[in-house]
Amino acid sequence: MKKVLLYILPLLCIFLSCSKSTGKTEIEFWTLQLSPTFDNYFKEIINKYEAEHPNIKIKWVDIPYDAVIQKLMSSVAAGNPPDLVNLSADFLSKFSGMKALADYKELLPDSLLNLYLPNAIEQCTYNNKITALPWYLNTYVLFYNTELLRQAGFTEKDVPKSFSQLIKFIRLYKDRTGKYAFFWNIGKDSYLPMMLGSEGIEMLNQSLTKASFNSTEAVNTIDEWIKLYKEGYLPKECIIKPGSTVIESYQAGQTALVFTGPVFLKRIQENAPAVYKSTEIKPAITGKTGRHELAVMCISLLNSSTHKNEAAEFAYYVTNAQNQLKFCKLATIYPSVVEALKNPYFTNDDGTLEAKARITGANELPFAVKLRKYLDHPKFDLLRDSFDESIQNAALGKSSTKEALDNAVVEWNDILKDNE
Amino acid sequence: MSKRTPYYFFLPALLFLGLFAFLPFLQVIYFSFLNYNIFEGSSFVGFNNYVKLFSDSKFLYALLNSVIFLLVTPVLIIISLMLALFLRDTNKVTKFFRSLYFLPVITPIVIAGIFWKWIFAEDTGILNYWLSLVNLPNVSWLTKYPVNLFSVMIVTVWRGFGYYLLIFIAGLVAIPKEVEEAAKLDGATKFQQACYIILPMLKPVILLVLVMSSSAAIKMFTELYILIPGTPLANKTLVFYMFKYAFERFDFGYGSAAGVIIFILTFGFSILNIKLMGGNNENS
Repeated sequence: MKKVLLYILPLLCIFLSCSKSTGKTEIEFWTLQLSPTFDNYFKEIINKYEAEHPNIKIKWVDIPYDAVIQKLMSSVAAGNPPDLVNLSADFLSKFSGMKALADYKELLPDSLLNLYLPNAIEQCTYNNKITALPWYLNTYVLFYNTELLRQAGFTEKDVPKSFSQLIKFIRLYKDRTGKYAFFWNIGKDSYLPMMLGSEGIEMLNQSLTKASFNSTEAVNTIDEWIKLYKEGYLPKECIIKPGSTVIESYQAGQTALVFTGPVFLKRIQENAPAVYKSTEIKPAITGKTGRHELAVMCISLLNSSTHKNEAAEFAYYVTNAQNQLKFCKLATIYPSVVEALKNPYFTNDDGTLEAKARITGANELPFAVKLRKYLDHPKFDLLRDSFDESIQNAALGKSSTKEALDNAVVEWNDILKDNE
Repeated sequence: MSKRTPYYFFLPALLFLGLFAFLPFLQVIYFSFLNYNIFEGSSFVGFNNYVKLFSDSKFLYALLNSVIFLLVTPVLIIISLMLALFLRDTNKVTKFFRSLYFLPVITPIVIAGIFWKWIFAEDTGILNYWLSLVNLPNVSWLTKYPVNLFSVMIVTVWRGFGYYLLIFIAGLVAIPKEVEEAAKLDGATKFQQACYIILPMLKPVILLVLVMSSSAAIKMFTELYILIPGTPLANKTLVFYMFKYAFERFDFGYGSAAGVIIFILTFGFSILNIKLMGGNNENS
């Protein structure tokens, strides 16, 4: 018996020391791939918050971007989910559909919620519930390689401003040089829904119950891109490569234009300094409506949290004007709070490319919207895959554009009906 | 020491397998009958998930692709067995080639995937460049079905043959030299020795490789995930289909049903292999 106690006691001591309560309320806060780059920033704001709130302990956990959903699901299954999690607004409809997210309206006063950009807060609102606080934002700009343009006999004036100009430019550039002008994911993670939105072509009705992207206008607009692909004006793999690869061919010096977020400028600078030197910036390419996409990163509070008020207060602290402005100065991102966006940092041009990218994006930000309305549906992933596959089928000649879109519309209506 | 004592040594392994293999396996079977929602709770749906599976054309394509993918098994066996026959003796040259052929096995799949992607790249890849040198049209190695499935199969064979080669060499080394020498004295040619002496004596090893490579082929995922992640679901195999539903769409009930089908297929195919090879025969 003594021997048994001899083995058990040290284990018991270790267990007790691990589970020793500090008497503080612990808030677990997950971010997406921000460590180690922003460690100092987070440590600083967390230390400050803890000093001001002696009863609160913040447990900051950084998760790789691609793993967040799996980690979140497994933490819920294991019964230890975080209180706050940084999510892309694209995922909110899914988690909101699962009733996993708390409503900030019940936790924070309107006076605080009104501080955020209306278009950003709109992206976080589902069924009249604010399911997340908007955090850092991004929008789209056009990067172009002045050297490649010069070699092809183009000037700055020829840089396209609209999608119809872009299609003409892509053809002309390839005809002149034999090279691709542009890489755009039209199949997997297709940007075509964004383009349709900007052209003012709705993919589905307001109540998200009926798809409509097989209208003559939609078919003709999409067919322009299918023709570009079939006739060899777009890289072969642009129908299967995921959206995250959009920058690759530009920074490899293989294409002259890239349509992406200003945040990628730093990556071009690090990975391809020669391309960076020749890079210039123009506002986002748009369709007939002139609208462009807003990308929102936000902080959601899980319904399972046992400290909702404390967690909501901390989420507000992280997203307040002062902290967001500080964060934005560390990367080319934009704040979701009106006051922070008014800061001269987003208007003063110091002549650098970064400043130009920052100002170009900031000017667009208040008018950027969610162009892909289907993201509001909890089964947006099924809808997205169905649309993507229809584009792949059309591009590979398995069916005409009209047939492919007709089939996808049938699939969409079936999915949308499920959730009516 | 009592007679039961040695069996106690099984306990740690059994406990480990129980916790991390048998229990999850039973759970997956249970989940396959649920509409699983991690946040709101689950509901029992009977065989609905299975009915839905077999009425989904993408699942049927994935099933077909998994069966097509089994073609890598005979290819792997033929290549690795032939090479094993050549590299059977141990000398400096065979040691070098054994190490060389084993390199793909130890190369991390992510790295291998990246350079195979470069090889298969349709606009800038080396394969299409070679084809253009002899005025042949470009091949859609990654975008077009079923060519893209065959591209993945090439990578699977490239990655796997070195592993099975070593198993075959180990099997060949265990065959007594005297038997072959006796056959030689009786006038048997090299081919006759291989057909009538080596292959029959190597049958248990061939069976092992057959079961291992076919179940690995059915379970294949990583190559698909790295080489052609963006192609339609109907271009993928069963494991990818399961992954998509369970871990990307979070439909764990439906994903579990797909997992059960994969198990039945792998288990059934292994039993079939053993039966066909007479693996339950004591003489083998």
